Amino acid sequence: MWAAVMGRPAITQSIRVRRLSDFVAGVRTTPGRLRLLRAITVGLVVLLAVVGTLAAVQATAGTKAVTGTSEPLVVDAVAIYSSVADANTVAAQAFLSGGLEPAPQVARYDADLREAGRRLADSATRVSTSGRPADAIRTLSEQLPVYAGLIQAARANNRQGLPVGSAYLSEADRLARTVMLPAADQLLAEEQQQLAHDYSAAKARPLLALTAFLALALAGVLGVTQIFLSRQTRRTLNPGLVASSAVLLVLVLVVGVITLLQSLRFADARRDGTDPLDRAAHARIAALVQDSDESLILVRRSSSADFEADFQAGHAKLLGSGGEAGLLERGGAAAKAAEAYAATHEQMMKTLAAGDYNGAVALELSTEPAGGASAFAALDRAISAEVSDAQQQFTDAVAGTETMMSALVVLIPIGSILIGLLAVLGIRPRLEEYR
Amino acid sequence: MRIKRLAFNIALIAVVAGLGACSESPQPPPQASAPSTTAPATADTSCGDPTASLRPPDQLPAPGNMPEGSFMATIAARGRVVVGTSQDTLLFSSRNPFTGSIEGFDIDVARLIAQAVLGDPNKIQIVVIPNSDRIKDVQNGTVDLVAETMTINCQRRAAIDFSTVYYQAGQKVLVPTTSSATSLDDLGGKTVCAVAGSTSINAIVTSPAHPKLLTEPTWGECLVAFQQNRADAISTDDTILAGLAAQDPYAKVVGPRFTDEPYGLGISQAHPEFTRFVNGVLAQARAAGTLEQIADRWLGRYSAPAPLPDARYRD
Repeated sequence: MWAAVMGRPAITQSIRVRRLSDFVAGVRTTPGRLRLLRAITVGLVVLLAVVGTLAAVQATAGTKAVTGTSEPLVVDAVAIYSSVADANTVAAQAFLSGGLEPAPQVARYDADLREAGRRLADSATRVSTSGRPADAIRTLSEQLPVYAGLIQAARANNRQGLPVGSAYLSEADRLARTVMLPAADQLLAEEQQQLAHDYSAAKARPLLALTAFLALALAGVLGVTQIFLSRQTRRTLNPGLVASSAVLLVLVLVVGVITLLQSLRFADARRDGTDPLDRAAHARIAALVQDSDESLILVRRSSSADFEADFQAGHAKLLGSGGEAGLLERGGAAAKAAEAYAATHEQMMKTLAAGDYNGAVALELSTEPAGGASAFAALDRAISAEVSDAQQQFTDAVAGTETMMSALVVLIPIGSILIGLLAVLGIRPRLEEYR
Repeated sequence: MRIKRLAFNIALIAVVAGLGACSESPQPPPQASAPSTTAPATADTSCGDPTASLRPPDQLPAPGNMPEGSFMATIAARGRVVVGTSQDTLLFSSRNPFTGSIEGFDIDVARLIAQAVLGDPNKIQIVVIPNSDRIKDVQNGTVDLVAETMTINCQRRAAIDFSTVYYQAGQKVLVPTTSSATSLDDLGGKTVCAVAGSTSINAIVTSPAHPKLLTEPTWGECLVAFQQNRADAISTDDTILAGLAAQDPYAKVVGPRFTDEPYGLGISQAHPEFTRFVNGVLAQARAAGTLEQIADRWLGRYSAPAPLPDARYRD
């Protein structure tokens, strides 16, 4: 009758007021409390579905990034650095012996440049168009043809017997050392950082923790509801709520097992794959720098002791010094190859110090078993084997993780909805008794 | 009569003053006088005659019989002469692309020394040093001597010793064949390349036409800059330019010499007996015509044979 006097808006207002005040007053009554518990349950279920799905989506995206993008990018970056460094050293060595460059050296140089170009193109498709990795890739893509042009000019002049060829070689070498190799180095560092970042994104710790908390809260509310109901009614168990709790338990178990599995697999991938890959990558770079230093000592015929000091620093990095572990596994094939390489280098430096330049050059380029070229080739092969090994371990460890995580993206929302539905269906008959 | 007397007195005073100036402490770096296009710039004489070296002994010791304690004995004991030089100055010391060995005028002169000390011209060890390190590497003993188209001047004489002059060069300019420039004065606003640490830079930076200077580590790399259009010209000794122009049909060397560049072997002041020995070897080579033959072998094709300068001694 209030409503009839006040008009329509007033009616809805007063109905609302009546409902709210009724509700508040009704909390003291059993149906009111039931309704409250039902509301909280539904609210938690919705939150659980949303947060849980978000967590699953992030974990899946992170896993995909680790396995499909970041790790391949790290491998590509190592390959780019190696190709450019090797090409540069080989180009310099090709000039050492005078006359036309030996065909195997030319072939190796060409193969290196092709590899660098191919890896650059692959990497370009995987990185986003802005950011430091993209900048590094752009620099390398721009300078690679310039570098190749300078080497070609060096070769053309060399072929005609014009000494200016070695000046072109110096220019190319400077371009490689001051622009291209630092860019490749930067690319590698950025990709390694990105990989570490993706590992933690794949774990989605904060969101998973929140999901777990919500699941716990939901379990608590369901438990309270069931206890409340069994006290107020003569029925001990409510089938809907029991079913709902069972589904919640199953969901929690499944999610728990999957995330645990993913965590273990990733730990394996890191220990057997990514970390050894990092070490092998740095070892490869250190070995290449050593090779380049050795060539420069001969090409420049310089009195400067800088390159020799650099060579020894690289040796210390590879095999460790002063009790610190080196990049290479002690006693492994690569470590032995590094020792052998250092020994041939020693021999070459002695020959050079005795004034026999031509002998030193012959020793460095020799493909005999005890020669410099074979020793370095053996070292490079051994380290490359470590790189591929680490890559394989990684692939094996992460096999299937992406599928597991994408299963969660489906399971969590469906499970949550099921829990909510069962809970509501369980409460409804009890509520209807009070009408 | 009186005027003649006056003139004689003035000349006498000048000579005495000049001799006195020789023993003065090192002078500040010489300012190159403004290069004219018609006559070579006057050389810096603040230390007297920088090309005057130490007089050689009348009789040179035979190879294998070097006096005890002398630097030549040290070299003999080591078994080779360590020579500091470049490896891409064509005609003077550059790498032969066909054989991989370094050869040229400077190398041949160094081989004369090796022949005299060790009896074998092949017993030289070549160490490549950039122009800017020449003085340092002689002083600290990294090399026994420097044979790297090194111009003798008072500033350098303060730090190291020089042999007598073994070749007289002069600065010129290298330009594209399509250019009408004939000297630095015509290159206002253009980029001229030179090597850091060379005396050639002086003339470029003090030229009234104010060309822009580009420095590279070696003369070969100046040619690369020229071929890549980063430099419009190169300026240095005509002998070096001849070697560069020989490698590029689109380059030509123009104009008269506008500086005097007497070449000497750089030797440390710590062992004057070695300087005397080297001067003795050079004197013998001059007398026997060997030095002329070497000059002809390397430079005959590119320039009219310049008369080899006489040796000058200060004691």
